[in-house]
Amino acid sequence: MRKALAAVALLAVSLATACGTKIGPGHDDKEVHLGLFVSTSGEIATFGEDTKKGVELAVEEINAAGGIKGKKIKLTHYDTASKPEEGKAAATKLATQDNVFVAMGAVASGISLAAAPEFQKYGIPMVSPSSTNPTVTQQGNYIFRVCYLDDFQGAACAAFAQNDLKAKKAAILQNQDDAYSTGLSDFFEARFKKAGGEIVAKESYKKGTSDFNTQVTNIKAKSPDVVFLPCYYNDAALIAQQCRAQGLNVPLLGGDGWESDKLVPNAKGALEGCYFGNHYAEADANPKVVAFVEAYRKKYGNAPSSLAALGYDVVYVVKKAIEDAGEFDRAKVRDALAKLKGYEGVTGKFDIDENRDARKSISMLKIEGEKFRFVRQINPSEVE
Amino acid sequence: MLPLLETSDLATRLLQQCANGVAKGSVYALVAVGYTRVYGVLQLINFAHSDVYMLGAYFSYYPAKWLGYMPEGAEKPKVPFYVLGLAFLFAVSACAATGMLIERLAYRPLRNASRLSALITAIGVSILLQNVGQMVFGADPKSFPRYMDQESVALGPIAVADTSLVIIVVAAAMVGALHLFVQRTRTGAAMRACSHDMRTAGLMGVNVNATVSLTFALGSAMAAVGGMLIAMDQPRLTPTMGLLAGLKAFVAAVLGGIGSIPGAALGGLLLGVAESMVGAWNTTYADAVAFVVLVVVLLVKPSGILGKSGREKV
Amino acid sequence: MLRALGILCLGLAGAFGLHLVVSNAVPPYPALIVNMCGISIILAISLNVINGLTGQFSLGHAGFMAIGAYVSAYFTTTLRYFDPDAARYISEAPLFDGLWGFPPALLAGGIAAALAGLIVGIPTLRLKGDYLAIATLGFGEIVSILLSNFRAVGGTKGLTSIPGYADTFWIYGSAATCLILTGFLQRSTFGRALIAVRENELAAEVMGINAARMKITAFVYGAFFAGVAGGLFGHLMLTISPANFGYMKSVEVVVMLVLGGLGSSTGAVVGALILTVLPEALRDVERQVELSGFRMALYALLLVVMMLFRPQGIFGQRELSLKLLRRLLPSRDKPGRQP
Repeated sequence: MRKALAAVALLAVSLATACGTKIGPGHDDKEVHLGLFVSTSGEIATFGEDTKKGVELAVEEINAAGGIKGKKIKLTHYDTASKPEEGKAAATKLATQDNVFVAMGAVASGISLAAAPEFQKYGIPMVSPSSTNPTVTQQGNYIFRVCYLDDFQGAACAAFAQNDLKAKKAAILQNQDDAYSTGLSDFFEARFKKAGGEIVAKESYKKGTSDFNTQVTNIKAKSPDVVFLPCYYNDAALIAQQCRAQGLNVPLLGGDGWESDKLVPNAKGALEGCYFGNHYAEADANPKVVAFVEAYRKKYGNAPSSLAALGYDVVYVVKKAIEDAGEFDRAKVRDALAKLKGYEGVTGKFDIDENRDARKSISMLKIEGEKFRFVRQINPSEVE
Repeated sequence: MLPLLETSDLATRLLQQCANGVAKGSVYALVAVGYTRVYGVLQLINFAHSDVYMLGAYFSYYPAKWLGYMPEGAEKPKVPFYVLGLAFLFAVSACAATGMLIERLAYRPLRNASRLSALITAIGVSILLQNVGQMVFGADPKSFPRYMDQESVALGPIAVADTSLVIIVVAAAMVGALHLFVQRTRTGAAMRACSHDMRTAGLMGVNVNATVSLTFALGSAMAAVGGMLIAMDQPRLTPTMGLLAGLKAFVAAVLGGIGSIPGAALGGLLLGVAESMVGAWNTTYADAVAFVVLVVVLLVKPSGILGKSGREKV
Repeated sequence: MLRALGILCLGLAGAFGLHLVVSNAVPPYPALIVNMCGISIILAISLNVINGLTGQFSLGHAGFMAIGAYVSAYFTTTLRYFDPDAARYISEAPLFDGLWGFPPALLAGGIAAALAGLIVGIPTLRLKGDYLAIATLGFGEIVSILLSNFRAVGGTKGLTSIPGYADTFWIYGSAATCLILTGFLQRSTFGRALIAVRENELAAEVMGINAARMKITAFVYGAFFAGVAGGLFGHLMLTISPANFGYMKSVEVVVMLVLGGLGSSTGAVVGALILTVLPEALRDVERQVELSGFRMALYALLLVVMMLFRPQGIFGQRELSLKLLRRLLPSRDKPGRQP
């Protein structure tokens, strides 16, 4: 018994001396270690997979071109299984066991919010590709993002509906389980009402729904001038078809979640003449975008969605920040990220503002046949 | 005359919602019969059923893709009828085989264990199928071949998609056929005997293992048909597409009285119409209200609408 | 009674000891897993009282957990939300500020969940088995829908910036309290009555047990601790949203319970440990394979295999106790002491 106690005491002492978490540098002579955490299983696996593909493509390209300042990228990805608790676990593991230099993730704001405090605690910069909830970057000065915020995008869509589509009455159909959807919806509503418009119907559906007829019937009865669909491309295509089947033929309007080469084929013509906001205006004009789409298609066999493009941009933003910082030092990379201005990515040209959010304009596109025609650009200053 | 016009407007709207509800309910019913059949025989909530439904949709997608009816980046051609037949046969047989395999490997060894252990393996199989599905098919949502052109059919003042009509008709026919099969044939009698008392049925010369296998094959085949039809109506395939459909179908089966085939059909229709009618008033709380309705119905009839109330023997 | 208090103090002291070890000597990642295990343990033990001891089939545990999480976080967190009608952000200071506000907030979460347990318990008295399961599942879904539309707690986005009060001491202190109380409950006449209701309700009633009261009490007791677990979860994760508490969460807890052995509190502990650690342990496997979905597929496969090899759960209905251990280990001393 006494021996056992002594052993326990010894163990406790030896453990206690090992205390105080030290975070490794995250790079050595040959490699810089980047972490990625997105959901590649569970309900939002679709979006995590797209992001991961974009990230992996960028890493492959950078490594083929000699890496970042001569160091190859080593990428470690952990699945977050569409659950915040797994996001926190993955973040803790990336920070304290893998000692990544910079972390990238997550798609869903809920998961980014659970993960962000961990990276903040250890002073590891975290860049989210697509978490749009304003509170994500408020978690600390090491947390950044490269996507739009809900408030800007929702307001921009509302301004477009009022000024360009001359809509007086709008209806909204939102996914009530998705923070991206309800976020856009709230800010659209606020802006639309403020400018004298009327929201005639605000309908909701649960995630995973594929029959929207009940909501469409309700919307049709209120005869709106435009229907705002803050959702991803897979929902948009189905909703559009069901709207047309019931004879609701007003323009539909969406955000960057619509971007996908599957949008038009899946909608089977139901989205003809509809509008959505996107990161880049003319995909054909910008050589950077053309090269990205080409490389993506070659590697994966289909065109990238906006999530893949954002994932791709995150890696290049990190590369740019490290190069700007001049050395592999997390605090300096953080400062470089905070000072990033006029960065030209495949998702458009953007600055990082004082809230560590990407400030970029939104391009409103019109769906014409298989093509998206550029209508006009909305700058953040226009709706502020 | 004006007020009358307004009331008829409201009536049209409600009629349309009713039609929406029947279409929705038929989908629930199609999936619910599979739950109810397996439950009737094994008293097992087959959680993996909704994933077999997902497989059914994918299995009916691939034949057309292999034969070149899903070209990348071009207009999809209309699929000829023989390919539809081929896809149908492939989906039905592959799902039936999957169902039998699941039963053989995951449920049969547990037949004499507690019902809850079998329930846990069912949940395990469900998660397994979803993730293997993701590994094989990919997580990105897939569209569906043009087996049938979706067009809106006007029925008086309301509009219904032709695919919804097909679902309603097929669901009714399948539920009727299954009911007749279980009630009128010898094999059906063997199934009923197994659901009554498996051990005694075995003693009476019923091949219990074969009967249970057949039950799974039938249920899975129906799930395959359901998956295929629903994918035609709502063309979006994902490995997790079974989650919500399965939950709703399960609720429908319990509402109608789990174990009863007509009950599953009735439960599905009621749930669908209730959701639509509540949705006509407020879509945000439609699901919540549907669940409240469910609880109230269960309080009045604790074993579902058409369920047998088993008297407790002392 | 004195003995009970003594054991409880011992449990709390143990939790404090664990806290010292974990906060000083364990790296953050394993420490997080240890903490998550503690929360799973509370969930599993509390559900065991409803599902295991009393033999009811509840699929609504995530609903109780959600209520506890939201109520306790509501008290400790600065609420900040966007009001589209007023078109501005609204901010409300927390009711209980500072760490001393945490225990009352946790307690409030537990009590709110217990009230919900009472409300759910009464109408479900008439329902049995799978029908009860569906009704409780419906309850969980209703909670999640209501929370999604309740703007003051963030709607779909949920609550963020919850203070990180839940450390190992609070988590394992609650877990120890839950385990010890449940242990005493199991051995009391009350616990025996619960088991009698499970084994045969009619016979129990004949023996003078008020089955309805037993069932409701079990629901209230289980819901209370689920609420506490929810409160701890929120203050550990620092953010909660209705999506955290879907019906799959309830299913997860049932799986822990059945894997450990339905009806055994220590079994519930072991089941909770295995199912919390397993997905984390498989991370490195997935990293080697580089195939998305592989980890969860393997997790599911292991679950099925474990059930096939041990259908009654790891412990069956037995409890892991010193007595059992002594019997299993070859006894060295006093071989003739057998009674």
